[in-house]
Amino acid sequence: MSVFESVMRVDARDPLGRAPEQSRSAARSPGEVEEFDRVVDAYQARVYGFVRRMVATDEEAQDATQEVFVRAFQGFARFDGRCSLRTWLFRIAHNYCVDLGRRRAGAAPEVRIDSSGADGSVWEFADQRWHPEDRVLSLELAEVVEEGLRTMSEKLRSVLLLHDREELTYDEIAEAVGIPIGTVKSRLFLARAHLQGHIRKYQAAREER
Amino acid sequence: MSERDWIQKVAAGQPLSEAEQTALTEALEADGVREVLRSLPYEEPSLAWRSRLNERLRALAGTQRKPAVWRWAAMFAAGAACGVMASLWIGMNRNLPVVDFEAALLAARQESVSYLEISAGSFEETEPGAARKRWSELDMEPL
Repeated sequence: MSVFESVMRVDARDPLGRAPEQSRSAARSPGEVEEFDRVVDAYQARVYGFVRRMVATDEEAQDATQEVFVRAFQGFARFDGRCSLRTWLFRIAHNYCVDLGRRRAGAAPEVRIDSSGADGSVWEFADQRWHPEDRVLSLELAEVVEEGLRTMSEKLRSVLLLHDREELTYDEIAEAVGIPIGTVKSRLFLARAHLQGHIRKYQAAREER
Repeated sequence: MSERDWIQKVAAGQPLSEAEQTALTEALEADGVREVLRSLPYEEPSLAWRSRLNERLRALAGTQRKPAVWRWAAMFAAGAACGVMASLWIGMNRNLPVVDFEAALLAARQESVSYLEISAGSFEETEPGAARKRWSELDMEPL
């Protein structure tokens, strides 16, 4: 069994049903493109989805996602397996998006978090057009959620996406983003509060119509 | 501690006590936002995107293989150089003077005869290395 095969074991939690997930146990030569293709097959949608919500345009997201995998390929020989492959890939993606945001002129200003609507209680998204059992959002609701993500700061957005969408643990997020676990939890709480507030405003506006 | 206290501290970026951290962790455990975000569709990059990435990866793989080729070339060159040096050394050593064996035999014979004449004794008693030399005039004639 090759190292890539040992890494590429099915993770039942992956929504796409094909996530290989285990730390590497041995160093590999960097020239095995065919086996790295399998890493790309498994993660391209997830990395692209994360990057697309971290940068400004779809074109930028495509270029950035390519760059993430190129950097991963170049650095794979140095990957020591201390963290999972998933964490390592998202760390590369996060760092690249942050650097890109710093270089980009006229970045969107950070939206100030209003914590007045956050009361620590369990928030349930109640809308007739959303059926939790189907896990499907209408196009309109999806756009509201995407807008809520766009209007929050990069620091909050990255933690929210990595935890609530990509299902990384607090430890993995702390390692990928380079912040303490306590900060991960705080940012996650604030990010959720921001998105909840945004969706509540949309629902209130609809009810007034 | 009220719920608002630790929420305000989180919003202000202030450190939380252990109890407040516990409250925060519990608040994060069950939340509808997670389900909403997981309901957003996953989008696969296009085939053209994947084709461009494959080209870049193969170009990188080709670049990364070059050092191995150069290593083999260097080893071959080093071996060839050693072979050339060995040939030169052998060629240099061929210029050494060749020993004339016939002349050496005659000289040895003459030396043994002169020893015998001086000692006036038997051939076996006085000649140096007599056990090894049993020359006669008949032995020398073919030379």
